[in-house]
Amino acid sequence: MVLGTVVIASLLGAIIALDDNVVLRVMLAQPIACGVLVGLVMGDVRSGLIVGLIFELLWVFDIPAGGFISQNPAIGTAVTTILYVLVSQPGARPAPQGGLALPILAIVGIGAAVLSVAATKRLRHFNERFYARAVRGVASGRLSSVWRNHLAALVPMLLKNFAIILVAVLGTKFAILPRAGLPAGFG
Amino acid sequence: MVSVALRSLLLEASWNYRGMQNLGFCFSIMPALKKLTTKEALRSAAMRHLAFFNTNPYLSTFVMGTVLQAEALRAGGQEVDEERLSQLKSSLGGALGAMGDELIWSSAKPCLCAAAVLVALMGHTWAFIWLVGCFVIINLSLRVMGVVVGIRGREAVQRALESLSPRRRSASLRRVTCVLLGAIVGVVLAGGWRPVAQSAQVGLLTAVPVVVVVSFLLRGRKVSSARIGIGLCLVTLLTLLLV
Repeated sequence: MVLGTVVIASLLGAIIALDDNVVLRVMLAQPIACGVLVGLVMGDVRSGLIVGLIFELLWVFDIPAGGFISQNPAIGTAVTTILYVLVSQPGARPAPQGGLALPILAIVGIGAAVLSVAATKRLRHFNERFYARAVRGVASGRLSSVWRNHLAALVPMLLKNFAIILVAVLGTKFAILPRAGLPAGFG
Repeated sequence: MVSVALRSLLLEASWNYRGMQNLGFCFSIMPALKKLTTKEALRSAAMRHLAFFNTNPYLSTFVMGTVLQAEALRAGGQEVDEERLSQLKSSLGGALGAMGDELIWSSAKPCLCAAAVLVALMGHTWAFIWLVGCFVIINLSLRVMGVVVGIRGREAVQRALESLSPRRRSASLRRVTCVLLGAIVGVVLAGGWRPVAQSAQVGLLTAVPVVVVVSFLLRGRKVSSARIGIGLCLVTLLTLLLV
């Protein structure tokens, strides 16, 4: 049940993250939006809002323009929101102020967002294959190769976002946190 | 025209380092190209528009409209120099890219995001709907306007962009952003996380002196608005995380 919710929330985060520098650009990838939506799926809108507010202030001057790839705020927000709701489940809900939960999990989220920069760079190099295929298709008279290759490039980008969020969440929850010796709800 | 504007929402789906937004550009104008040219000419037109292209996504349709106007002239039998068309694409794309980055990314986006944070801190969990709604309107209206104006030619694009007066608007938006961030600091200093549900009015009262100081700094232009903004964000973050 919990794993299923985490997978759905990660997928939602991955789809929202596409809004940052791939499609639409209507600010759905801003932390304040992403945090609340992922929090809604995780069953805790308030935690999503708290994480969203913190990350929004971190990335308010972020400029995802042109060839420059900035950290994807939606990925960081999704990772931190999911983890923040998860760590609060076994015991008491962590207090937003004073506890260690939010700063520690925010660092994990920022790490995931930084990782997404390197992955996006690689994928943008990978997209050159779609471009080359489209040119070959048009040269041989198949105009449909333009839209096919253009939209096909969305799939690896979505999978990349999904993999980063899911690995960061599950890795932190099951591999890092149990060994860190932190108190329940991070006290 | 609507089809071109809507397709331009996917402009960057296949962004790559060799052609940047080229595939997205060709994908966006394809429905209009199909109507303008014959089947035989369509292939060479598609090949032309698979060349390098990069601009600000919100203003991309201005270039698309201008290019479509040139393609319409070509389809009508007029001579259109390919090299000039390519130069027009790159020069207009570059200018719009710089303008859009300043107007949208470094001015409108921080301003609306700061407003959404302030509204959320005052107890409105769904403040982001307002933020997204604003950007949907800005995004769609700029894209539809771009195609409509672009089709009328370069001079029309120039007039439309002048009427947007990007430099003046950017400067005003940056000042508003700083004032909003000052108000956020006040709200947070007044009650930490409490204003999320409770003391929004007290928070706003505390915000007044912070906003006055920020306005004074901006008026004297002693410090740039971006530096003031980043400083205010840091103060808010530290207050929220530590106090």
